[in-house]
Amino acid sequence: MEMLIYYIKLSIHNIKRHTLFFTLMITTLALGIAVLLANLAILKVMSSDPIPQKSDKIFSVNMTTWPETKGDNSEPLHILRYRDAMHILKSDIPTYSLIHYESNVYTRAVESKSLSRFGATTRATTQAFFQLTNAPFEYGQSWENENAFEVVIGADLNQKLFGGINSVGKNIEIDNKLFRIVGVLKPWHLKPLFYHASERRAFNKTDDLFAPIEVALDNSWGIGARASSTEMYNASSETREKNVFYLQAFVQLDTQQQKTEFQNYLDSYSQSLKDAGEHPFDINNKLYNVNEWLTKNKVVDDKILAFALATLLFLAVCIFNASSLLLARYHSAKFETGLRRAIGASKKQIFLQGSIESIIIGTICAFFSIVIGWIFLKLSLSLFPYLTDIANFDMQLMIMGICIAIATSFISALYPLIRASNSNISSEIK
Amino acid sequence: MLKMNSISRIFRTDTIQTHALRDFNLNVTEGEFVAVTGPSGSGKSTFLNVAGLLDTFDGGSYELDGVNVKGLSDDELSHLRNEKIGFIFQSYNLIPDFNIFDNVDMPLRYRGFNAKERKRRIESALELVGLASRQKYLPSQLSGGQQQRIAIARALAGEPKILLADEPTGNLDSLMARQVMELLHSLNEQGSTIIMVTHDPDQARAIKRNVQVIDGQITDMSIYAPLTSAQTA
Amino acid sequence: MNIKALLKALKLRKFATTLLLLQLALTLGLVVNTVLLSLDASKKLNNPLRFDVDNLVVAQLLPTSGDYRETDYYHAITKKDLKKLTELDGVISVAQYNQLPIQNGGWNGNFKDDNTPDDVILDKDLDTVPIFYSSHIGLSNLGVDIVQGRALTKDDDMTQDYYAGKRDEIEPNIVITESLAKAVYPDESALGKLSNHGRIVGIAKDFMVNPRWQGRSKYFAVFGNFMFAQADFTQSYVLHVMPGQVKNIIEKVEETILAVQPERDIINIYSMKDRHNRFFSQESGLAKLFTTLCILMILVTIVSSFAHAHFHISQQRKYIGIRRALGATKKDIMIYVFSENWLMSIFACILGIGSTIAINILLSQVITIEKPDIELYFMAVAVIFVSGTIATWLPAYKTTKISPVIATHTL
Repeated sequence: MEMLIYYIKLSIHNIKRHTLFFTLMITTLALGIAVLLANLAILKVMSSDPIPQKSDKIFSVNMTTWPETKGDNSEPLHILRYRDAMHILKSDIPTYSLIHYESNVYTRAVESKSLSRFGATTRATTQAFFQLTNAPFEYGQSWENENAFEVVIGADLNQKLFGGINSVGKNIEIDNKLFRIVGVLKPWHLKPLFYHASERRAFNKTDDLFAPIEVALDNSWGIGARASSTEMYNASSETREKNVFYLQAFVQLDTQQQKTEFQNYLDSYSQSLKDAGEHPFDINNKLYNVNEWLTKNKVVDDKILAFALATLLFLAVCIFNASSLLLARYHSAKFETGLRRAIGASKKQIFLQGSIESIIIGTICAFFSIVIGWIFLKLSLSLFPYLTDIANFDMQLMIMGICIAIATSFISALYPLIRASNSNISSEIK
Repeated sequence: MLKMNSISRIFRTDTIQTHALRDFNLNVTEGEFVAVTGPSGSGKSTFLNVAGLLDTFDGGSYELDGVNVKGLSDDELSHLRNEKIGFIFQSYNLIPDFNIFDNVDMPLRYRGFNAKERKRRIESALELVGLASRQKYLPSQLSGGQQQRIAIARALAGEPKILLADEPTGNLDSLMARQVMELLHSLNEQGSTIIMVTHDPDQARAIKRNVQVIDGQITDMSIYAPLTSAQTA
Repeated sequence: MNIKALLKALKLRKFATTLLLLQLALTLGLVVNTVLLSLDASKKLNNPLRFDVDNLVVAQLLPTSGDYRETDYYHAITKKDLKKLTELDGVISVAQYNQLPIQNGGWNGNFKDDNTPDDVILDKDLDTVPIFYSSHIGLSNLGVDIVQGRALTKDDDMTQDYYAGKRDEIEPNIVITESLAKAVYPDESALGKLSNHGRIVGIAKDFMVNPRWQGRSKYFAVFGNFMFAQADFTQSYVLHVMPGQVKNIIEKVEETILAVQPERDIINIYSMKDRHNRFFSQESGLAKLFTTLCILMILVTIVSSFAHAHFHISQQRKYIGIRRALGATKKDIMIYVFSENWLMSIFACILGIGSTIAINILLSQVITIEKPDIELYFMAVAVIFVSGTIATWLPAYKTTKISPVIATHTL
């Protein structure tokens, strides 16, 4: 213990004595780590599992039902038309199944004196949405009747409309119609937004408003995401009978047996369409679990990944740099090392002292890395606006930063240290 | 105390082999003061390095204070060096930005003494060399002679069995050299075993036992009548 | 200069030399690839857009009130908006659009001659042709000229017929772009032909619609005279303004629109130029990130080169002293130190070829990046040489201060 304190004392003494040298070394190393950390912060969120409890049990339903007879349309689509989606809902194989589309409405609290309306990103969906996605309720619960003018609102909107109070039972107005609030969600951070990972929306916020899909269609709430069709339509209310593909479906299949059964269920449906002459393609329905779905939608941004590769190279350069600086430093301290060896310090002790010095440097590096990394993260996010507020430095990342800093500092010191502790004593001192 | 039997040390480069020491025999008993002389390149320094466990040897046997040195690990050698040997170098080898106290403290740290014990030893060692009042000074604030005395205090602080001095007065003017030599003689009188490499015949003459190294071999020349320190002065 | 001696000196410090070489080579590779990315981004940004980007202001909005579900109300307000916006000082013309140029995806449909049988497989890019609905000035408002036939007129407006339920009876007149005309009618004039979207009465110059699409399809566009009225669909106005008026007009758009009717959410008001920049923000963002990294890397390399030279010299003080004693001038010594750095740089440049290609291949696994070319490579080599030389300057200068006297000291 006393030795440890002595080593720490010596290290601090050394660092103070060679300020310029250590400043250079710490700065370069900290830069390398900082840039990597900033990148990891983004990658970590991008590659995280949004619903780890059951990400392998929730599936995005992709089907081949495009009703064209020519060309190659056998690639399954994640957007479905109304009657296909209804067929999915009809099945009792999945534990839960939901369909949804994204919309946008403007709304205000009926009781409010102000007439101004707030924009609300809207999920037109079915009741099981909340159970399937584990949406956290603060007050109330989901609607029971798929045709009722009832909505669930998110925490943000509840704050805007009602100042955050329990607003269950209150009414809001959308397009001059009244809707009753039956549930209010807690702040809900779902990153990535697995239920809408396509069209680069994986890092959008969870929705402000959730409403029964039938009601949304009856009121012609617009379709705010990809919609493909083979015929003209004016409003979403017309889409029930038409070949308009825009609904996404997710099912929860808890067992392998459920999955097999459901796959068969989909396939026999597609087969029946094919038999009826709607399309001539091979049946190619796919169920992607959450992580497969995120991968398929390239939620981990290629550009960030490319930059991560570059930052790794940069860190390597920084380590090389620190290492050659340290080599120079141990070289110039040859005399002192030789003296200590002569006086009775063993190689092990010299190595230990150097290691402790490198850990201290690593710790200082860690501090600067986190500070510079945070700045660099903000810079990265400002350059990639769609990533804004997806990533921040959390505890885990800071601990990671500290570990990386200490590890890289130690790696940089390793070779110079081995050299120093093995140097020939007698030639260094006279 | 120190028993070297038929020691050889060979330096090899790509093309040549140099026998720095060959069939080197020396036996130093406790309390002796031995002066080692010899022309440059004769192997004096190699001898001192081997004796001080700073360098290894190729053949023969070496026993230090009853411990056979051959085949010891680095840890054991370091430990031995720390405990049994005190070094005095020609260029003092004080760490310039450590104060006197910390310089003398250094070997004691590796011995693992507690703070109290270290303080006691440092103070008594500095007392012995007459510089107890300079603990907080930096080496550069002292004269060469004083610095060498500090170096001697550092060597003494661990209460070693043997002091190895490599031309300890080589960098000093004659007055200061004399003070340092007096200190060494008085240490010897108090019981310290000392081996000193020197090229100064006058200094050597003042020492009880002289050995000369020529071509890596030893010639014992304890022919000089021992002189008292008063006579050298 | 004695290269052999230099090589020997470098060999003595294998580890440090290897580290610096690796570092220089990696930096070189990264510099080349970074510049590639930056060039690519700026090339995309500087691709000619072929319409009057500099003098256009975009406003995008959504109604917040259910009243807009009434087509007539929607139309009335839109017309009033257009009128009020046109009256603004400095505005030349204003039109509404169902979608805007410089976009990803959008409102697309297949496009073919009306006589093409249903089972003919169209070229892939003819399956997704952007369909623009605007007023009769839709094209001229963007600054796009008609090259053949005529522009649309007020008489071509199909809005009324459409909303009167006569959608299937009308044969609208349309204008298409040159590229599209050529794609659908490669061997004859498209003028006067009947397509599945209507009769082609004019052919407009190509202009950039989907910058990320490949080849000719970038310029595909169909223009019809139609005021689409859908309350939940983002409405876009484009204001063609007099030169230098963009900033001034941007400030007035919101209040003008809200003064007509306040129940609207103004989503965006920006210049078309800004839209263009935002469109490529990811490419330029990545290029900027890489550039930052590149600068950092060069800085680190300067530090390393400095340390390397410094270290080398401190090791060779005596040797240099001897050289001085033997009659080497200060200049000789400077050159000696520099030549070590240059020698390192030369080696690094050889290694750098490998690292440049390796990094390029690595990056091409995840993003699209062009192949490095020789000019870029030499540019990066120059950067390495210059930064290395700068970094060596101070240590080299210091060596000249080494006194020849040192040769006579023992170490």
